[in-house]
Amino acid sequence: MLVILGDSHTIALHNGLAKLDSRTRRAARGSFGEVVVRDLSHGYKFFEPFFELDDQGVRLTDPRAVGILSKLPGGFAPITANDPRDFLFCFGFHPSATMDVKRWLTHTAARSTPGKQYISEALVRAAVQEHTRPMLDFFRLMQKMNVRFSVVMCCPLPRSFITEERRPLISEDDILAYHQLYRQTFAAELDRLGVRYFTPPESTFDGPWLKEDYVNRKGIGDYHADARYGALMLKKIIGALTEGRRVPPPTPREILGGLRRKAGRLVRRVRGATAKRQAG
Amino acid sequence: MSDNPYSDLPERAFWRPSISARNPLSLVDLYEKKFELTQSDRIVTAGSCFAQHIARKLKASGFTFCDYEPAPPQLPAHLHGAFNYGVYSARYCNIYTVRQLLQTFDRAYGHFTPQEPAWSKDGGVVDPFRPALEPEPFKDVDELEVARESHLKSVRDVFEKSDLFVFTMGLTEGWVSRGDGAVFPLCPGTAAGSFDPDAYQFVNFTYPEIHADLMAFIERLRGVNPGVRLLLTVSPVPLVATMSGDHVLSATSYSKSVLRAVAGQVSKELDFVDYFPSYEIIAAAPMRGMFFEPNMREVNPAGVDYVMSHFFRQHAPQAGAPAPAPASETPSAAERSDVEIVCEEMMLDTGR
Repeated sequence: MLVILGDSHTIALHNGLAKLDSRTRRAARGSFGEVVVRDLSHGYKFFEPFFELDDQGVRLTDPRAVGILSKLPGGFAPITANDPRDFLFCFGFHPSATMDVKRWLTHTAARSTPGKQYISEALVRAAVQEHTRPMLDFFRLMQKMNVRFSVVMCCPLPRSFITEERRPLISEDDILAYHQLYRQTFAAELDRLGVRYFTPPESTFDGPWLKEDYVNRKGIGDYHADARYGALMLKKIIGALTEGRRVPPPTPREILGGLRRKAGRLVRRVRGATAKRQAG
Repeated sequence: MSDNPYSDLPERAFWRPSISARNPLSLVDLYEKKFELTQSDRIVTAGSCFAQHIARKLKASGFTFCDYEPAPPQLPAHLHGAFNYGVYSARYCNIYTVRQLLQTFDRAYGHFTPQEPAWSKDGGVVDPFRPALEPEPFKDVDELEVARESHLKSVRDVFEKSDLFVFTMGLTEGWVSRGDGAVFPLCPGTAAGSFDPDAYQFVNFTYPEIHADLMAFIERLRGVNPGVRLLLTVSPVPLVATMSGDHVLSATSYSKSVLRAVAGQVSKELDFVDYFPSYEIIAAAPMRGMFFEPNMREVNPAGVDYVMSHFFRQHAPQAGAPAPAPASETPSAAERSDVEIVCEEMMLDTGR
C-alpha cells in the first residue's frame, strides 16, 4: 500500500489520482497494490509538534488528522518499525503561515526591495530550520524506524497569489525570494538527512511560478494546484518509485474501460464534424 | 567648627557618611539627573557591551526604548540575539570607540565611505564594520551591500527619531585602516578577514582625540535632530586584551580613566548631555568587585540590577522609585541566559 498523507496540497494529489493514465495506475497497483491519499490538516499544523511515539508506533496527534485517518476502511494503524506500507508525505515544502503577507510588511528577503528591511539568506535558513523542526524530527524518526518513505514538494507558487489586494503590501520579488529560499533550505535539510523528495514536474513551471493553467481556481489568490497538476505529480512520483519494476498488464475491466473511452472520443468527434457540416 | 566651603555640602559629598558608613548595597544619591526623562521620550542605545544591559533594563521598565531595526516576525525569539536583533536600537553591533561612533554617523549619511573591502569568512563575506553580525556570513558582496544599505537607513532613524541617545563608551584602543582611517570594532583577522600589518594599525585614542570625536559626533547628531539629549556612560567591563604594551590591568585603568574623563568633561560642557556613573557603581573600590563574575571581567546580573536601580531612582519608570537591588544572589540559569550579552571583543580571548 502506498499511503500519501499531508497538508492541503495533498488534495491536488487526491484529485489527480482519478486522472492518472492507465499505465501509471497499473504501475502503482503492481508495486503498491492500493494507493490511499488523504489531506490531514492545515499546513501550519505540521509546524507544531504533530506526532507521538508510543508502544504501538507513531501516531499523528492533530484531532482533524486523527478523525480523517479513522475513517479509512479498516482504520489507520500507527506507523511501526519496518512498516510494510510505503509512505509519501506531502508537507514541509509549503511555507504555510511563515509566508503570510502580514509577516512581510516590514522585512524582505529580496535584494531588490529598498523600502523594507533586508533579511539575509542565512537568517532565512536559520528561521526555516527552526520552524520545520517538528517535520524534520518526524522524518528522522521514520528513518530510525526503517520506514519506507519519501516526501513530495507542493506545487510552485502561482503568480496569481499576488492579488490586487496583496500587491501594495508585498511584491512578487518579496514573496518569491522567501518562497524559494524556504524550499531550498528545506530541501537541503532533507538532502542532509538523506530523505528522497520529489520536485514538481518541469512542465508545470512558468519560470519560477506555477503555470496558471494548473492553479486551483476555488479562491482568488489561492496557492494550490488542481487535479491535472496532481495527476502529473503523481505520475512523476509513481514513475520514479516503480522504475525498473514490472508493470502488470491491463485487466479485462481496464481494457474495456479503455475501449469505452476511445469509442466515446470517436463518437464526440463524429458528432462535432456532423454539426459543423450542417451549420455550413 | 568655623564655616568653610564644605560646611553646607550634602552628605553625598563626603566619603565617610556616604560610603564608609554604609553597606555598599545601600548607597544612595550616586546619580542625580540633569534633565527629566518621560515615559514617552524615545530612547535609543549604542556603545560597548555594557550598553546592552542598559537597553534591556530600559525596555523592561516601561520606557520607550526604540528599535529601528527590529527582528523580522518569522525569526524565533530565541534567535534574535544571535542575529543581533534587539541588542541595540539598530544592528550596528558593539561600538567600542567614539571614533567608531562618529564614523558610523558619517557612513549613515554618506559622508564617509570606507575603502575596506568585505572580509572573507567560511566561504562567504562579512562586513568589516559588523563582523559578528550573524552566525553565518553573507553569501556574497552584493548581499552584504544590500544588508548594509538597509541597516544604514535604520541608523539614520536612530539618530533622527530619538529624544535620548544613550551611549556607553567602551574602549580607547582600536584598529584602523592605514588607508583611510576607518575604525574596526575588532582587529582584522580575529573574527574574520586576515591581518595585514601594512594595511592596519593599532591606535590608542587619546583624551583630546576622543573629546574632539565626541564633540563632533554630538554636533552632527544635533544637526539632524536638534532636540536630542545624550546620556553617557562608561563600560565597567575591563579590556579582554591590550596592544598598548602595558599590563592589561594598567591598560584597562588608563582606558577607563580617559573615557571617564571625557564623559565628565563633555557632560560639564553641554547642558543636554548627562553622565550616568555605571562605571563607578560596578568598578569602584567600595563594591569590592562583588558585581563581577569570577573572571573579574563580566558584570553579573546583580550588578546590572544595582546599577539600573540607581538610574530608575532618578528616572522612575512608574510612580514611586524602585528600591536598590537586593544583595547579590546566584542567578538561575534562566536569569543568566537573560543577561547574556553579545561581546565580540571576547573573540580576542579565543584559545587563551
